[in-house]
Amino acid sequence: MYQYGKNDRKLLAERARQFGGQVTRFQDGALDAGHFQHLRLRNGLYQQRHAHMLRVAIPYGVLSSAQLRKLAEIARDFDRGFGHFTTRQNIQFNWPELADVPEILARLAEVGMHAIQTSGNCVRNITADHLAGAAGDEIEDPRPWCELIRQWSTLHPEFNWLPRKFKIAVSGARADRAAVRWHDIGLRLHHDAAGRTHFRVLVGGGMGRTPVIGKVIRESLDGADLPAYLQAILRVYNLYGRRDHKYRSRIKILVNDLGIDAFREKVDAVWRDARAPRLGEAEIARAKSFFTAPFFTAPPKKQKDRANKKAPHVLPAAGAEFLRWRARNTEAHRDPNMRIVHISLKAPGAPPGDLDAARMDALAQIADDYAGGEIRVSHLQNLALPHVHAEDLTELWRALHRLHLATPNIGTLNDMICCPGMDYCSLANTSTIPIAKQINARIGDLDRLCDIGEVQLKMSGCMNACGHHHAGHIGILGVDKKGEEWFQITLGGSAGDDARIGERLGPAIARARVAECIEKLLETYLELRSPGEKFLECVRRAGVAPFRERVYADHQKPQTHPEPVAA
Amino acid sequence: MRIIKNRKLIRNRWRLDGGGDGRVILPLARFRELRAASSAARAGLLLAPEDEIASLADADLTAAGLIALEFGSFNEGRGYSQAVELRRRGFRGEIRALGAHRDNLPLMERCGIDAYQLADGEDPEAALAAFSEITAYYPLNGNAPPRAE
Repeated sequence: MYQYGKNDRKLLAERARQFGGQVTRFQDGALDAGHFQHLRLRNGLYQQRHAHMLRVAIPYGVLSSAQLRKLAEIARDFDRGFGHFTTRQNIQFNWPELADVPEILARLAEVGMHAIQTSGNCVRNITADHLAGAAGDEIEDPRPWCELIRQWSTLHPEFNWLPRKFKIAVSGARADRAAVRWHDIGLRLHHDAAGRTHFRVLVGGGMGRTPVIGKVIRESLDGADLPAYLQAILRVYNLYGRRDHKYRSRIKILVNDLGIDAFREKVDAVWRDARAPRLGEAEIARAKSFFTAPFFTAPPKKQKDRANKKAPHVLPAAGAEFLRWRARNTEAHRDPNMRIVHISLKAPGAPPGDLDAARMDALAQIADDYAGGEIRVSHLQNLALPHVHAEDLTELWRALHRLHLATPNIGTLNDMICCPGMDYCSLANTSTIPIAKQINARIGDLDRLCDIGEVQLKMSGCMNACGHHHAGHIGILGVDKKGEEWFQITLGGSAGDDARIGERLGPAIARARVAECIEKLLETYLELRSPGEKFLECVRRAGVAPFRERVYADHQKPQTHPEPVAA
Repeated sequence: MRIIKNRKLIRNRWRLDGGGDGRVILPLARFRELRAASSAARAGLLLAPEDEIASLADADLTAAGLIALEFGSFNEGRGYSQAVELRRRGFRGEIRALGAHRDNLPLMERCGIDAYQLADGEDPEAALAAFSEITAYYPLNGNAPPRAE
């Protein structure tokens, strides 16, 4: 992975010191509260419902064991012993004291981590396919390009005060696992006829209260032109994006207002005029040099142990539990002797995406023992070990199982995305974590979940859509009506190449009936499905109507919401 | 009143239209009128955030004694792009940020802004320290900050 050099370290140190000074000036009354808000946001610090929240970037989802140990230390020393992994490959700490934040940032800097631009109206953390460098369907590892974009966007002098936040996602594989079409800019890597790295550039996607799927602005952009072209898009947005209304300020609104063709013309004009330098071959080669694969040279742990005569080699019994985990939570690696191992942070009853400090430490050790010290964070709020020797799987499973990190529910209904909701967030209208628990309690049987197969359930506690409900095969949106929590259900949304906005099922559902409603959707699917047909395919074939009829057949007026709520 | 120019405090010799001493800074339409009336008069050009750099003639840039960019609020971001575009157009005179805040100075400077009339309530002496707070940068996103003297 990318190794911080002198310049990166200097930048983090200066930035932490600068923020420390700003905190002091704020506390002394020398810095206006409104101004301080903008500054703290650009350092990842929110004011939440009960306390501050610090959002730390995990650039393109790549985490080393040393970094994970540092996150554990921060969770222990400054939080209540846990952290929350988000849909944007960040981790959030929910209980830091303002006065401690400069110290936290200084400690993060020790392992090359930071909270720069994880919030505020600027370019946010660059996200990517969490299986980069490991997936079999990869065209080219996108991480060197992500790192170049990370550097390009970090403290970019021109784009620190955009009309609104700006999110960029990159995928280098045949399947899109980074939801690129839901981002302000989405980049899909491919090779041109000469074998050079090119990108298909999408622009103007986004969730929030106006969900929009990104549009193609350029089919094939030479990778060497990436920073210059991004600069052109951002400049057009910075100059022409609306600043008069918070909910009309994202680039998706500008692209829709101008039309993609007129927007493209403006971008091309800036691009031609700016004469910005292209990336040199040496620069690209340097970025790539950080993402070679040293882990492939490390032997399986088993062989090492045998050689060191550490542990007697016992053939583990391949029990049903292990086999189910192997089938659900691991997948093929590009190297047939290796596997990708997913770690579900969706154990029943636990808030989705949360992990406590003790298990962060333990997982860091497991990553060192079995996975070359590398961990990935996915936008689905799970972790993964991208490179594991296949012959180590059983022992790895035992180690994860002991930590209750082997819940074999990856890709099932219970592997749901869920924002923190009212339990933490000051924007939320409703709670979400109790709804997740309600669903888990009602539909928790693993055999049944595995029979139902892949269903992406995504839940947001308000219109801001941090839980990606628009892109859920089943989406749940919490709405407040006269102090009561109601839940709007959508069906048929998706995040990948077939990205689509979910269709509203009908009037919102009362809080107590959400799990019941989800169960009816699943029952309908099981009755309707053709052999081998997945939930999403079934919804798309049969339409929303049969699902709607089932859910609203029994309980009409009293339980349903009096008026429709726009998603 | 003092302003910051090239990281030093200097006396302000320019005034916005409507009062004070010194040479005058005018919005584009008035700036062009004055130039048409008297080629000898050398005014400053005032640009609002929505003014397009592409709409300026080369003659406007040549004639401008300085170009002042309005930063009406702390989070006004268009002036940064305007400054970059002005430098791209080859403008080498003073680009002055009106209403600048201390914490924004380092990024403004990297966009090519070299003079700062600070917002009300900002202490110019204290603001000078901001330039040395962030000296590291990634070359991919633009020029180095000018070296401290």
